[in-house]
Amino acid sequence: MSGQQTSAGDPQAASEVGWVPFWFRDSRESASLRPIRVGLAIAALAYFVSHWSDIGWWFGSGGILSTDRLSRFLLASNLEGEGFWRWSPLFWVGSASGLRLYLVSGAALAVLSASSITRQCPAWLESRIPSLLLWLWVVWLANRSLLVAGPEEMVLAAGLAYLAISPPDDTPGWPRALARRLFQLHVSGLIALTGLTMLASTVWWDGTGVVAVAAPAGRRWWDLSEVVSIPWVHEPLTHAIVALAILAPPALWCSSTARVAWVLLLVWCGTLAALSGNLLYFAVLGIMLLSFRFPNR
Amino acid sequence: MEPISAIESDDGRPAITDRASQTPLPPLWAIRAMTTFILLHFALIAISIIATVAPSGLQGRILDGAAWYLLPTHLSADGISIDVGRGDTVEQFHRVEVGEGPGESWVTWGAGHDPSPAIESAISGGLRQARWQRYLASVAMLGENQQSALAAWLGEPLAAELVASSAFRIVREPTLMTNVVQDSAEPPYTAAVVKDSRGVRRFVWTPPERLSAASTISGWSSQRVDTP
Repeated sequence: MSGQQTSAGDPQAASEVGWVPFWFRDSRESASLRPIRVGLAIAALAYFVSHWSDIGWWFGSGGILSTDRLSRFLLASNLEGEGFWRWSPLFWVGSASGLRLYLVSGAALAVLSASSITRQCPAWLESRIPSLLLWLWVVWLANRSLLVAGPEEMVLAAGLAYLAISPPDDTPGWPRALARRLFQLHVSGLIALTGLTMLASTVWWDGTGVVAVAAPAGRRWWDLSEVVSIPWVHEPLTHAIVALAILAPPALWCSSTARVAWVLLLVWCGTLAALSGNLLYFAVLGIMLLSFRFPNR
Repeated sequence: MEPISAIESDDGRPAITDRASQTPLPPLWAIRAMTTFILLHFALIAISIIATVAPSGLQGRILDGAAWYLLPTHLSADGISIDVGRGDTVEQFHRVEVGEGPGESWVTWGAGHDPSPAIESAISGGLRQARWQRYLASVAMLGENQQSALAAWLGEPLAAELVASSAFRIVREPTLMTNVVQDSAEPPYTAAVVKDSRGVRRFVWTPPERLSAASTISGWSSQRVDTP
């Protein structure tokens, strides 16, 4: 990569000039965060829509995890600390219609957050307020989903928090550079840690890891358990998934291998999404990987 | 290496500007504050993820101390494993079964339907199904760990919908990874559905029938019994 092509989307080039430029330098040639903004807004929208039919059944006043029942359960199991820091106004909402109103407002915020880049909105909508509110809306619902939340809420909350730092009109500047670096470091670190935690299970050593992921088919859209039960399919695939998770994130930060590592990690996300059925989690990881785009090549 | 020079920012304090891109950088105090935040932020997230494997005492203390930051922002892994799969029994697909019969030994089990129309109509593999599975896995795990009172407490809302059933259990569906021994293991949670004095249906844990070589005869002695 030549000096003219150097951008904040190229971590290696920026890291050569020290800590401050690495985190805070930006230029007009740098990769835009707009695809990430639109992608995370769609992911947040899907998250709110998924709660539509069952939110009252879970969190309503007579629901399975109603506030009263949940607090008594946490008290009985000596887990009061778990609930204490999980702030959410939804703990005070018991009616199904009130909970659905929350989902509607969250969906509207997701649309506003994505559409504010069109510059056809009132001034306040062009500010960071819709993005900030969208982050809070997702975090509050995720905090209310105690015992039934998964990894998708964790990455969605982090991604929307980083997005709220960056200006919605994608103006170049240190907030956008900081948000991009936070995205890059978060997603590469998370995938690397995923690979390292995989090493704690024997299934990722003996070649049956993808069978373990695909086997509990349940009521998934598709059942790949028969396909991956073939040894020459699941063994190489398992080893490739672990090796990629550990080796590709560092390769993302090296200019000579960045593009290959980026493509391979997108394939990694797609493969695990298909195997595990957890589409939202791996979709959000894939969207965050877009922060490693290399537009000047 | 591109040079960094100090100029005055809007508030009159020195700021750093990158000459190459001419993008204004934040003031030094803000850079120092954000640097501290970045380091702590990623360190805490990494510790919360690492602790999902096998938390050390130190990791536990750090996470307890940082709960004010990690939990309200939902940044903590907080026990949610990100390794996609471990091949554990808890990852199997859980299913509710309801039973009918006069006593615990004569219950006829049948595959129950999911108690909520919303869950029943949930898209296969969707997030609603995932939430339902996490809930059932929590009740099953409590039952398996002999936390029967907590399992009943958590699962009891389902009892109200079991009008015509006298028993309830959560079973794990066999997978390609399970063997015959695992598939024939006792369900992780089995309970009788009983009405309390106020007519509210509750779960009473039914202990699994264990096969054992231990003697069940009291007063057993080790004297040799001579055959005639």
